[in-house]
Amino acid sequence: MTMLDTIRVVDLTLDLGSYAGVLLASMGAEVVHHGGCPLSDPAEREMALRGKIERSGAIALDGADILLRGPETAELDLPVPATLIDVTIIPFERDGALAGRPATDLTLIARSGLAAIVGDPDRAPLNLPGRQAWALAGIQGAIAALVGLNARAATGKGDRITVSAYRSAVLANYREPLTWGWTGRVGTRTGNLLVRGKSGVQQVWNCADGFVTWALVDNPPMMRATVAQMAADRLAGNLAAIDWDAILVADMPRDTLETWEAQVARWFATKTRAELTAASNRHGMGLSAISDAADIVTDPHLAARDFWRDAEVDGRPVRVPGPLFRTEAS
Amino acid sequence: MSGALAGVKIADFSWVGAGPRATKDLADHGATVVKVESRKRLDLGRLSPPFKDGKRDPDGSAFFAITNTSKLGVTINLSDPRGVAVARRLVAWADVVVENFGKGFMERLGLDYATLSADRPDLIMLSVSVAGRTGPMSDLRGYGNSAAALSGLAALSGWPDRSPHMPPFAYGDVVAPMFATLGVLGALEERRRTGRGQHIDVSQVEPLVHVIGDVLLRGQLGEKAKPGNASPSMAPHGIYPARGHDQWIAIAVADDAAWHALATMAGIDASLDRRGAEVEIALADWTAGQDKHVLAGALAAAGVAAEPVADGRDVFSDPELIGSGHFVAIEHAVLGRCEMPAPPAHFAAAEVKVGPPPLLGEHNHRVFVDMLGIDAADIAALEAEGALA
Repeated sequence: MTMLDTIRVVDLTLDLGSYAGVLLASMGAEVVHHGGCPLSDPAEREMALRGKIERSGAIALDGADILLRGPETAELDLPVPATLIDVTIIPFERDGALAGRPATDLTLIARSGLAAIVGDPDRAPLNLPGRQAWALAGIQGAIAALVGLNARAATGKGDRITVSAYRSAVLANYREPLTWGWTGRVGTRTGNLLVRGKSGVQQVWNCADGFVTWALVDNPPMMRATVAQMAADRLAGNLAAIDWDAILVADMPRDTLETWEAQVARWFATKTRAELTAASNRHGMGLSAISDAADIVTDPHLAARDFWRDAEVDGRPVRVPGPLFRTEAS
Repeated sequence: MSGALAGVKIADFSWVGAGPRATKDLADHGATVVKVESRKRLDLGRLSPPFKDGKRDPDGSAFFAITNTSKLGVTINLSDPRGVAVARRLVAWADVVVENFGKGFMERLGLDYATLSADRPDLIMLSVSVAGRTGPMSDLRGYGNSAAALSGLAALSGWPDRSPHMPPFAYGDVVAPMFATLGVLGALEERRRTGRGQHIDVSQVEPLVHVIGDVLLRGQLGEKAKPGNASPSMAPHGIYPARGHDQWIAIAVADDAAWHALATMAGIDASLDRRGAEVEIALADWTAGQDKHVLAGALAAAGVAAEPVADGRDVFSDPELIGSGHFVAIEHAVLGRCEMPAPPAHFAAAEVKVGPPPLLGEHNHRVFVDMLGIDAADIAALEAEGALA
């Protein structure tokens, strides 16, 4: 990818914030990283350093466009040129009451409200897989850096930008603070039940050979497409009589939805993931098979999009994600 | 002080979540974003609760509002050729065109990249879809949850001993728009250098694979992939009960110093296996009777990373967020005075300004007449005849 191939980045992040440099490198920037990597886990280390050039010795900011700092280097006194986009990614606000408070990915996900809604009602809240607060902060750091570059093109001046990892995680939790603010309702863990409006709908379904995701939603074309396929197998029952344009699924009573879902479940149980995927793609049902982790690295669709790159981690061959997106010029 | 993206013009045909979140980011940073909608086919975001006073109103959805701040809004009926003609005028004005329709829709209107870039090689176009515009799954229609399913996120979420888990928010609708924003900003940078635009094809699946790349990599290295609350590099690392119904505290021990501090406070033998069940049980016993906020503060003061597990109410009223300006008050004709989320960054030089989302068709005159220069009488006629509805 050539988008940023004249952009030079000096990366002083060690852990939090490191993903910003990975993203900018993936877009073509030269990212020179200083300071080594304290991460002991090879997978976390790979995700923090991919695509970067490791350097030791003096930090040279002359000619650099972007400087990335993490919490360990936030206050490092450097001769910053006036044209530099100086981005610092830290857990909390630089001058807030929580400045300097120890933080990890798990603790930020907890404070963001995300953990409270992930998992099952009969067990403790859960983190998301991977390090999502770290990833979100890294992406926001990369966005901020490019926003700063755009402004510099107009003004000729750099900027000093601070990204809060906590706020980055809160932004991902787009529903819960909003729901409290407007309805006074506090969300909690609902397992695989998606609660919208006054009721909730099932999201994960067994099928003949695994799992699929699909839900009763307020999208009449998708609902009609699914019921038509059920009807073709004589399993639509009373769903065939519903006028999906005349109702709001989000406001239907849960016991009504359960009777509808029981009919859908009976139909799904007769089909494989491949059969349901094919029907959904052909007719617009809005269904997807749930891929296992092992399926992902061999997925034919991702292979057709040239998504993976071969790499070596701890001396073993692995596949790591490649382009962030595909691009095409006229 | 002005917005960092002042002067960037965006024609935004996207709807629901995956496209509009990207253009919200760009609009909050000062880009002029014209959101194209139609009364004939409402943005499903306008039908998504919560609504003002609980009443279903296309201008009263708070969900739509937080996803579309700072934009201008017009109505164009793209099933009417006269509407498409106006859309072409808008595209001619724009630096960037954004869409997230099913594959083939923009082609049928003659608003696809190949057609538009023939006359406008500097045009940037962003397409966001579940699985991307190429490949055997490119016809897939769905939402962010489809991306969670296809990326491995669902399979890797939840408890290791239970079935796949779909948390009640579409994470694919969060991450993909951020990658889309990166794509647009990168393309603007390249255009400044080369004078040429490009088509950016963002799949919702691929960004999710990127952000769980470490977990997928661990699986390739032969380790158990589904982590639950475990960490490969920290222990103890979990969520423990606190005083009160459904109250919890997250604790993550990053190093030996933090472990000794925690063990001392909790009265746990520091020589025990930090990953062992005995420590987990002792820790849960210790936390169970304590206030989550007080305990998190005490642990943090001792150098142990800990935070209360917050719910929507806690987040909405968190002094850290209020103090940082995370929620910005706006005035909206239907919603009234309310608070919208801002980008999570402070810029010393550039302004971040969060404005209200548009009412349906609110800026038809301003955009079509004042910005595009179309005769006001023609616009009025097209509105009356349903071409701009």
